[in-house]
Amino acid sequence: MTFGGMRKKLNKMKYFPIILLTLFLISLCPNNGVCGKKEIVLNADMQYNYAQKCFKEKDYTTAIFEYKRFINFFSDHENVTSAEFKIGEAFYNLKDYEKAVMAFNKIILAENPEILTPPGSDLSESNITDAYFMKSKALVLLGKFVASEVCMHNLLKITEDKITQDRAYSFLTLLYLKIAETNPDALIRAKKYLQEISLESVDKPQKDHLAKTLADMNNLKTKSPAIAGITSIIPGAGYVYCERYKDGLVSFLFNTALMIAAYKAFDDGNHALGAAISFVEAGFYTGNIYGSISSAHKYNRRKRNEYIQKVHNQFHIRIDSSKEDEQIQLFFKVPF
Amino acid sequence: MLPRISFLIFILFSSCMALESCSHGNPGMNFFQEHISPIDGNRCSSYPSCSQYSNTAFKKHGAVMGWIMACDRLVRCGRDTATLSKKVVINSEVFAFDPVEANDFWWYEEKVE
Repeated sequence: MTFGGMRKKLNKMKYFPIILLTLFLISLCPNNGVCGKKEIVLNADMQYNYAQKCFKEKDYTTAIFEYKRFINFFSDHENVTSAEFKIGEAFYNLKDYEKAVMAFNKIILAENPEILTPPGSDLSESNITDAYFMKSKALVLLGKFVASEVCMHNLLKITEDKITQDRAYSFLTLLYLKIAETNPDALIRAKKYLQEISLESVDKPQKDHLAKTLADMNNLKTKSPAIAGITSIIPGAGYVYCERYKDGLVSFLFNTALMIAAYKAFDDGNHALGAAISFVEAGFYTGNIYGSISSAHKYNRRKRNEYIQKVHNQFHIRIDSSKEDEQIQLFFKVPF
Repeated sequence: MLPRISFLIFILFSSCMALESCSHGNPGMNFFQEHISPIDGNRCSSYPSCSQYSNTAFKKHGAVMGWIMACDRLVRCGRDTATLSKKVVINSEVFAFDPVEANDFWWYEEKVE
């Protein structure tokens, strides 16, 4: 080795301790944000539990995001369907009913129900049933009553469980009570579904209460639109028949005054004025007949809605399931 | 007698027909809403006001039924309807909610497209 070569080698070795020292110092650095990023390894349970935590804290938007992340990264995990159900619930709680229906539909339309309830999953069979109920409730809130009814009938087709059947019939009763607010014929269907609820699971006082409610449904106090129309030949009488006394009095006085005015105008030879007043009076007189018939219909609708409200208040129909109490109770208010 | 009756008709109309928004269909209604009601003030106790109600009734059901429904509303305005109808709060004021739909539901079905 020449002198020059040895010198070069010595020069290189001079830096060697410095390099070593630098590497040593780097290795001593704590593994934090200053010297390096902390590596977090999320497992399926951590991800799922975080999503659950967001859901419990009612941060539904984040919960949906986290549940979706869970489904994406841990698609083979046993809680995937449970996460899908929770996504549906979160959309429902966010009042995004269209997306809620889609989420519940995904669970309902799964071909093999066993996939939905893998061993150890926290999604029990009753949760699948709940998917039907939740979907139906979401459809009601979207105003899709027929689709909601179809969904319940689909559930009735596949279930033989008496409690679930009673829950479905209770739901359908409430559904038709809701429809009856605008369509009186729906009361008949509500009554039909109410009768389908198994009375075996209802105690005696509830049975009596149920029977009385059904009897009340047939004995609602109503006003005949035909009688209202006929009585309104005397201006205001139709309104009075429909218990609108002030309207009746005003209608009587106003129509009478206009009739006298028209008579006087013609009598005085003022035919143009007489014709003008007669034209106006014709409108008010027919308006009185129309208003009387309309009042009878409005009276009937009001009484029907009062009855429905009474049923809602007194006869809370339960659609949720309870493992502690297997007996169906007709006391749960469905938040339509 | 006759001037009193005419005055009564005018009072009945003007007391109920109030301005809330201008219509563009009926010239008479436009005239009332643009020139009379701003001076007379909004004193209708129902929502929509009688003029808006009449306008909607005319547009929805034509001249004959619109006229009949408007007359019916003018007679009812501020009386039993105020107590029997649902209430609606607009600009901190409580009004009786009495739209055309609440009075034609028994014979007219809305066309769903």
